[in-house]
Amino acid sequence: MTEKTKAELYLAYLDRILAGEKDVGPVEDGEIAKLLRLAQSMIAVDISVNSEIRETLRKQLLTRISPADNAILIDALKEENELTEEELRYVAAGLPGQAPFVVIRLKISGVKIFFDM
Amino acid sequence: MFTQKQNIEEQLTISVDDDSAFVELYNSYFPRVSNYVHYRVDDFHEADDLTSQIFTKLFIKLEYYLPEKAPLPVWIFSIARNSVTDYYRSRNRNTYVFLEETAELSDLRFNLDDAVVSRELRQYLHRALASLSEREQEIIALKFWSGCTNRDIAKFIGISESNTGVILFRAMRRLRQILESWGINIDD
Repeated sequence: MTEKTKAELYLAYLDRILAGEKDVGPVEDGEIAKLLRLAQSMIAVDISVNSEIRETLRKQLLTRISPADNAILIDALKEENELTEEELRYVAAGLPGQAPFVVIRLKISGVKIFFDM
Repeated sequence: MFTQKQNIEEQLTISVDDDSAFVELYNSYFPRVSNYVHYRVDDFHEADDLTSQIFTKLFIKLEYYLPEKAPLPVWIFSIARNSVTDYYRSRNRNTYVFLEETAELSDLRFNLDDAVVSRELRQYLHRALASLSEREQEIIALKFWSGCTNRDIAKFIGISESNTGVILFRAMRRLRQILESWGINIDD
């Protein structure tokens, strides 16, 4: 196997691990398997959990954020988390008789609310 | 009694007034940006300061963010990446740790199942990462923490996508060799 092929194979497995797959199944190539174990160990070592600034920074930024900023963030997050077909069907079924032309996805205290207007 | 519509409208107002979007973004991106910076800057406190500066910049520049130009993670990590580059420029330094300088770390035996493994591995990982070239560190940091596509990472670095994959593979191989030379066996 050439190095390039190995690298491509490794990247494919790594992408699955980074996407949250815990078990990528048996990996034939010994070196790739070892390097995947290293990757899993690196992901497990989340340096940010020991960060001293996490909470203070969050509070500082919260005091600075304006409604306009929040609106931009809502849009940005909406772009990032496009609704799935299933969620869209749920929206359509939620308020019968009205054709949704704008869909807003919100999270309030961890509860998802779908709203059409 | 609230109608369904009134109830939903009220919840909408609450959502825009409270900071749920900010909290969601912060909770999602803080670990990623923080890890990215810690993978690039080996001084823990300086990395924390830099992370703080990056988030402050993000919010100052938020009004200029155009979703049609770049996805959110690409925009965020462009700012993070530029901040790390500026940091090194202003300090005019590179933190390379050469293998011969790490003799004191040699011959240590390391058991991954140990309860203190995370902390120890973090320290060794930091030193091992610092032994890699700046480009290798950058690719690993972006790959593991940015959530950007391989194509975006290749664009950031300015090389082809397949070349990025090969460099990443070689860098991981080297990282493993460095850790093994210190007696750290990930397979244990």
